[in-house]
Amino acid sequence: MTAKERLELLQGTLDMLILKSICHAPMHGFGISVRIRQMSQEVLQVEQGSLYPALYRLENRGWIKSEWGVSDNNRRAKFYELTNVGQKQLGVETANWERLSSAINLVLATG
Amino acid sequence: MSWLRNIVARSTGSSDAEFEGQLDDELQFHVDRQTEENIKCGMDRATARREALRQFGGVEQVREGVRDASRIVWLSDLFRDTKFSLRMLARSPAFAVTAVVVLGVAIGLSTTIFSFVRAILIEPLPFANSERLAVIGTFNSNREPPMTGASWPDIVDWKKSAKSFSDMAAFKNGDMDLSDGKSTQRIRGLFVTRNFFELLGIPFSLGRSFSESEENDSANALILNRELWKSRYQQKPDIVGDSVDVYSWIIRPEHGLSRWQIVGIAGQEIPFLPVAVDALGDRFGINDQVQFWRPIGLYDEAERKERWEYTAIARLNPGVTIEQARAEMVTISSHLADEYPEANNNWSARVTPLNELVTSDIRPALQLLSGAVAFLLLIACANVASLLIVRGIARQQEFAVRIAVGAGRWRLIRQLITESILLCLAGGALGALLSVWCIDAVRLFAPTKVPRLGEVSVDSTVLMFALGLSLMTGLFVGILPACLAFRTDVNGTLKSGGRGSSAARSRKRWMAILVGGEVAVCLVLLTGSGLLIQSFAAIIGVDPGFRTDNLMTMTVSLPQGKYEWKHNTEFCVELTSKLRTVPGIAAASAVRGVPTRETNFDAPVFIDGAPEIPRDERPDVRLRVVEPGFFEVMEVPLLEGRLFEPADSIGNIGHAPQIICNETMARRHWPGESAIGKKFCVVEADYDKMEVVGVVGDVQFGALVDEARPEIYYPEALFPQSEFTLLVRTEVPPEQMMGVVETLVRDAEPDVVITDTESMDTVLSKSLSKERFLVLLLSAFSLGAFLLSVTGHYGVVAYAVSQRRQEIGIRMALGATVPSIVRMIVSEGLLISGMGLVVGLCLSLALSQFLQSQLFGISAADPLTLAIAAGVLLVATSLASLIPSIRGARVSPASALRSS
Repeated sequence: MTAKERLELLQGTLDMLILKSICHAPMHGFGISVRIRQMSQEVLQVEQGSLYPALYRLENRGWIKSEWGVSDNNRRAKFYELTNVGQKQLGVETANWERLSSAINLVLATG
Repeated sequence: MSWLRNIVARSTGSSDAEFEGQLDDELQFHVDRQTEENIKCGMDRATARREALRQFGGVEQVREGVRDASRIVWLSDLFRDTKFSLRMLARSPAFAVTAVVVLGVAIGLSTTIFSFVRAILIEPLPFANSERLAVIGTFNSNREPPMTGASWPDIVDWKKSAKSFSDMAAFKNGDMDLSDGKSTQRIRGLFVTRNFFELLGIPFSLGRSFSESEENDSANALILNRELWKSRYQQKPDIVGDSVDVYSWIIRPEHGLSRWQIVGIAGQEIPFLPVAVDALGDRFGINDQVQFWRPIGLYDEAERKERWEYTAIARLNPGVTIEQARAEMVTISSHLADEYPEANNNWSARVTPLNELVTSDIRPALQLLSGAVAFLLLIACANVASLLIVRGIARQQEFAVRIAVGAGRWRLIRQLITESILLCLAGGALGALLSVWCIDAVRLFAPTKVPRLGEVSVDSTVLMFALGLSLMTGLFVGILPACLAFRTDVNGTLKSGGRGSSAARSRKRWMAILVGGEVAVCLVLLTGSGLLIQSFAAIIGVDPGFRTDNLMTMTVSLPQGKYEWKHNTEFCVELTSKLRTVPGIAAASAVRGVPTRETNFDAPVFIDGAPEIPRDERPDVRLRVVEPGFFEVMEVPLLEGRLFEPADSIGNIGHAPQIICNETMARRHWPGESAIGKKFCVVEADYDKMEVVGVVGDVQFGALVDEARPEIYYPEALFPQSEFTLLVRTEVPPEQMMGVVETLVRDAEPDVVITDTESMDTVLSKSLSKERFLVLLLSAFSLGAFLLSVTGHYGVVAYAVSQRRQEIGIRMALGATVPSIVRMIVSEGLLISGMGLVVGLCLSLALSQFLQSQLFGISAADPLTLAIAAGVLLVATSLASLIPSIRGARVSPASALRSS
């Protein structure tokens, strides 16, 4: 039960982080999880049980698309890349997040 | 667009393996990369690999998560679920067959009733925008019949003033006898105003409607239906303008053949419309086609108060509601009453939507049956749901294992609902098959007068209904057991072997609710059918007032207008006396109208010496024309005075100086004294007086449930009829004499039209067809509901016993006796059914008002019926709990304790 709750809390944010991590270049699943960890300076650890379902979900929504390619160590890997719709969605989600976090900060800063 | 390709590829089963393979590759790549990273951090290969797998988490969970996330996968999932469900169901065929049969019967019956409701109540009548059509008659609050016809002058005035209707036409039913010189053919049709066709949207295949002058002169112009045009005139293309010979209507003074000109062929077959007043009996039904139309009779201002002939049909203007139209017609009626106080005082128009009038007789019965079948379906659902709950318990370990190896819980619920939907679809298919057969069976004993009975069939709409009902039932039945099965605690279940205690408690509670509900709904059905059975018995118990066995009826109709009136009488007298000489026939007579199929011919009565009453407040008396010997043949008891003598038949046509009245007439008008010698007149106060010479017992000419009404009998010789019903008392079963009688009648008059050749017992039995229909169907539904509830009850108690084996074992080890254990379990079962009965009692009382209109001689809240129905259910459910509890208590304590 608790795992499920965490997943639901994370879902919206995780989508945003995935979109953000591939906004410059296509990336495979492992790369995305590493990238999120690095970007958050090792604070955020994405669980694979959430990551892969999220990737498939985003792909079904048409925000990202996937293609099989060759990885840096010459192995076949599935790469994910942002679509135009995904690009726009990233903008929307970032703006929402900024509004929400500044609001929360305001609340926490008060009194 | 690659994602779209993926969707298409993935939604088909064939690429399922490909999808899974790619997912495996992707996840494998992830683990490999993690392993490499770990090696870089200094681990050896084996440790690095192990660590990578640990970091990755459960592969199967990830896979399941991905499958859930790819929304489109549901199609292939559905396919997989279905395959799996079928396998699981095949593994327990007894359960599957039970559930499919229970659901199949319930869905089949629901579909059957639906197909009747649709064809009879929902499908529009075959007229353009038939929901905007209204039938208008009149009523007078001071008089008995709720609705009578309208006079032609009234209809003309209504049409002139009413703004609610775009058009209004007048019509009445009638017969004509077509003749080709050799034989005659009786055809049934309508007298109509010329706008009738346009008003109802009936096109013309050939020709036209009546012209203005044809209507004004009531000319000999005919419009025929296509069927008659085909069968009698071989679809002759230039038939318009042809003349045909017709024996004219009896009301016309002339007799013999007259020439009629065909002016058109109607392009659409239409049924007879319900009429506000039916002086000709029920020969013109909504299931019969109109064969001809002829112009309405001549307009006569003097006929303003003659309301026994016509009915108006009108089309509502767009946007006008039936209530607005009613209000306007009330206003117009009161204006007319001011203008013509003599004819119209207290008379008001009654506006009824055509659809409502057509179905008014059968609608309450069908609504009742719809409710009953919905109840039966509910009980079947509850039954299958509790079966599924029990089955869910047996499968606890299977679920727990599947969850442990990574199946999502949502996925499990879906799997279970798929199973129940599959069951219901199979049930629905069985139901659809059953309904094909059921419809024929139900139609067999459906009342003959039900409109459009022939149109009831299983078509695409009915099949869609069955499919929709199955899917809904599947969801309904499956959701609760699935949620209860989902309430499992993986570790606990794996360990305890399926008897998680809190989950078991909530399951038991839900099963008690389901079974209690079944008992409640079942009580409603049992009470309803119990009441209907008693009501039916009460109707059958009504004394019709004559001896019904060994009595045969045959309605004989002479070509109208072929002979002078006098001849009709002579014909009838000769025929009956000839019949009396036939071996096997004890007596014969005749009457106008088949008993129990009322023909209304009422007139106000003026009793000599009674205080003055305004004309329209006069009580009515029903007039009946009989041949000599009627009372003897029917064995109607003579209470006072004498029966008819030959001298009574001598006089001027249209006036009988000596008459016989029935008991009700004598009691109502001459209470406490002898009616013999009393004088009165009918129709008008200044008509010739009649004298009562005899009083006979009441005869139920109308439906058996009707109250007896005042009636007087006339000798036929003074009121000659071209149509009469022979009454033949036979010494052998009446069926054996029918052929002989028919030959005799045809020998006497080759042009005769014979209808309704039946034994009186058949006539009576047919007159109860609606009541029998209702009582049979409802009893069948109740019986089904009863069986389901009792078996459901048995199932729940058996489950409770199996859950408590250990407890029972301990109790018995501590010295409890078998009877005390049985008592404990049975009393729990009784608690469930007791609560169900209390709810059912409240429900029965709340619903009793819907049944009351269908009952005769018993109240819908009859306490005895309620008590008996509740008692039967209580005893049956007690027995149902007794069996499993005895079985449970017989188990030896040692084996019960060991088995846990």
